[in-house]
Amino acid sequence: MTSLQVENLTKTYTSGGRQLTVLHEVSFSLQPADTFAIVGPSGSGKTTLLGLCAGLDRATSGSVWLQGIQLDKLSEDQRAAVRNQHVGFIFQNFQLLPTLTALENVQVPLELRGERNVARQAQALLERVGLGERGHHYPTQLSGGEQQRVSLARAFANRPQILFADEPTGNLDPDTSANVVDLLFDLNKEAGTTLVLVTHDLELAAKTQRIMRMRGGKVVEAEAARTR
Amino acid sequence: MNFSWLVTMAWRDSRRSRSRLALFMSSIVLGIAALVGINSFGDNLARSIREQARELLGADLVLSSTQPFDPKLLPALQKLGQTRSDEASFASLVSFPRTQGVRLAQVRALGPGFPYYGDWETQPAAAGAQFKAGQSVGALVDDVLLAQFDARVGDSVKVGSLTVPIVGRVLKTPGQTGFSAAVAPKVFIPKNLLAATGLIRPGSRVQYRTYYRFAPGTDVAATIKPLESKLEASNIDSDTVASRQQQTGRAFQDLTRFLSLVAFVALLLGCVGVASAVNLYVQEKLASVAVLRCLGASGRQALLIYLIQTSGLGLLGAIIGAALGAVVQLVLPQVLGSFLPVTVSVAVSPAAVGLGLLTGLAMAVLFALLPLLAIRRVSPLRVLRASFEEDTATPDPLRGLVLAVVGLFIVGFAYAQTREWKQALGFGAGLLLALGALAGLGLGLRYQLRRYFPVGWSYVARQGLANLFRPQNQTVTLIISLGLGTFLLATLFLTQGLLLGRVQLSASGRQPNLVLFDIQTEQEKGVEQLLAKQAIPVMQRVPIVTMRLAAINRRTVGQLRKDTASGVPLFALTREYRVTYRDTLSASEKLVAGTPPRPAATPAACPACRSMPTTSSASSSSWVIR
Repeated sequence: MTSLQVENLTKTYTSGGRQLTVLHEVSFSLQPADTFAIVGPSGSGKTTLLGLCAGLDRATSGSVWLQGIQLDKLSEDQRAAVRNQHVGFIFQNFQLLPTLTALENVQVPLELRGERNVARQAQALLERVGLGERGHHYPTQLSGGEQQRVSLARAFANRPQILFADEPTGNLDPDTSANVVDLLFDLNKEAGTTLVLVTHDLELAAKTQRIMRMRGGKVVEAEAARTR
Repeated sequence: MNFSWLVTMAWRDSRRSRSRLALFMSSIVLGIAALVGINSFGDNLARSIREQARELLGADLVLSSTQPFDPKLLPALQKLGQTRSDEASFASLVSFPRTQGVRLAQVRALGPGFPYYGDWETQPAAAGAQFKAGQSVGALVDDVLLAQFDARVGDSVKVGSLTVPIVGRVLKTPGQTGFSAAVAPKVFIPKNLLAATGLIRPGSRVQYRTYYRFAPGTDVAATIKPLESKLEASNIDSDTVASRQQQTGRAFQDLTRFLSLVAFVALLLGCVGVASAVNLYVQEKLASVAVLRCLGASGRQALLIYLIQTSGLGLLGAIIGAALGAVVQLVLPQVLGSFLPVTVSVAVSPAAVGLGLLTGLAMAVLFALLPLLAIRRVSPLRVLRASFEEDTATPDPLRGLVLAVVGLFIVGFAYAQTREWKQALGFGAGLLLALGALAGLGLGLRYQLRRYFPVGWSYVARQGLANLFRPQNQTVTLIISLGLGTFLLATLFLTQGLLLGRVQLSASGRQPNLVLFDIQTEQEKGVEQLLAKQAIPVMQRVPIVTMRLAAINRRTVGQLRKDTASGVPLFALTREYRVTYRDTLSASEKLVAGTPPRPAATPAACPACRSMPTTSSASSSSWVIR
């Protein structure tokens, strides 16, 4: 079973009575444990594509199959359940819940699945990302790199089949970025997760097996899979 | 998804927003405090009136007539109540032999037992108790009357042929105020001495009364209901605690209505505060909701987290508000004491507290739900694009339902306060109209600013104005919140002004503060000289003529009495009316129908009225003086 299959995906917005197509007929597919980078300049449509692949938005036309489930047939709540079961996220601006401690942030995906003893699992993940002692700290009490590491722990908490990362190092300095990237790829390898990475950092993209380049909402180059 | 997780998340989420939530809670606290305080005060007032109305009457039921009760009715009347006391009262000249004083007084010949509620206040104190027990051998005389003739306990008083010792000075008796004592001072004699006065003869004007005491909890009105037609046919009036209570209650209806309006307005302001505070709160929480949605929370779960949060705080706010209201109601009787006709005893009203708690919770849920419903529609896409705006073009049926329930809540609450559907619906419609006008104003302002934006203005002014129509602006919400608040306060002040206007009319310098009653024609000159000597101006002379009805709408009293379907009570046809006449209306009077009466060209306008007295000279007059 393919991990992610995208067919003729198109997204059009209506603005001021005019139609604006930000994504044109994009297609690709990924196998389990593939690592895949979408690169392109700002406004190329890569974040829109990530949102559609992860079921955060609906396409104007075309289809997305995630773990064999056709997302465009589902309601928003049904897609939320799919995300909780199969998907992990990492964002440029971390998107931790500010009123929850680091430990509680990691617990949330597990709690939403209705799992028990989630504190133990979350603590183990925080220790894996080197923040075992910082579980009771709130996001504002952590540095950017630490917040992104908590975000990584949260992304892997629900043991996802596919991980979507949107500019994961975009807000970090080079040294911290290197640490976070190493951690991301190590965790991904350990869990055997499919990774979809959106970035304009070509050095980061080069760490993935496949790179797809976009411009003006269209795929301009799609590399074949390489072994990294 | 279990409920405990939702509660845990509600608690976790509130950590960094407690100051915002305190604003939300304060709206409920103030609204409920006003509601509980005023309603508790109202309940205490009603209870005090109920208790004091009983004392004012001195019994549970009083039957009275100008004739001795119909012997055929007596068996039925004797079965009423547990105990009863009879009274015969009449106006008569009384004299004090020691001081040679003579005066017209109200003589009340009372049987033992009265009063059943309240007590005599006499000097010596034992005199009242002895009189009540039927052991008195003399008369109790009003303090006013004794003072007027320099008489004292131990002197004699002569009523008709009866001369009895004065055994007590009456300071207060149930059913009598200081004012009524001054107008018609009373002499109380034991009923068994009545015959000895020799004053009860055919044609004597006597008021016969029987005071009844019923078992506690008896519905007196329902008990005498089957007898009503017979009592009316025999010209017997009935007066119950409930009817006396109603009469007393009417005296300060304006005050209780105004206080109800204050409570209602405070509550509505609280509702506006809740909706505004939660609306701003939701705007702050959109990012967190989007993250939760992204991680897999359903729209319903996200909504419930915040609904549990606001409901919990609403309940806490209602509890604090109810406690605060209980304290406020302790203070209100002291503040308003001098305006009230009764002494208000203070007690916590469980009904008012219960209603306050329920109302607080309902307003927290309903008015928070309006803005909270938007949470269900927050797109998880906001985690990628913070500026993303959800599609609001598709109407939300649940929002329509909540709006309908909010409307019902407001109208229902208005009805609970006014007990009149017309007023409640009118208030609801007025509020809706104000809401629509304010929303229209907000939308219009936004549109006009965008269209005619003053590009030449300074940077600061342009930025300030542009924020009124930029995305995520709160222009309409703020105009509605502030406008509705102002509208409600203005309504309150307007009503206060109208009520004070009425009071000012009676408190203005044009109103009298002394009234002289019952001045006979031959006394006029003497009174006039006395007043001139004291430099007291007479504002108005009111002639009084005693009349009986001759005809109504060209039908004579005789014809009306024969017509059993006329609907006019017999007593209204046969009683004496003390009537006055004037050629102008006073400032506080308004002619609501018909035309002002003109002097008749002929003795009577209708043939049937020719038998009516047409005298132009009054039998007596009252003078109004300041």
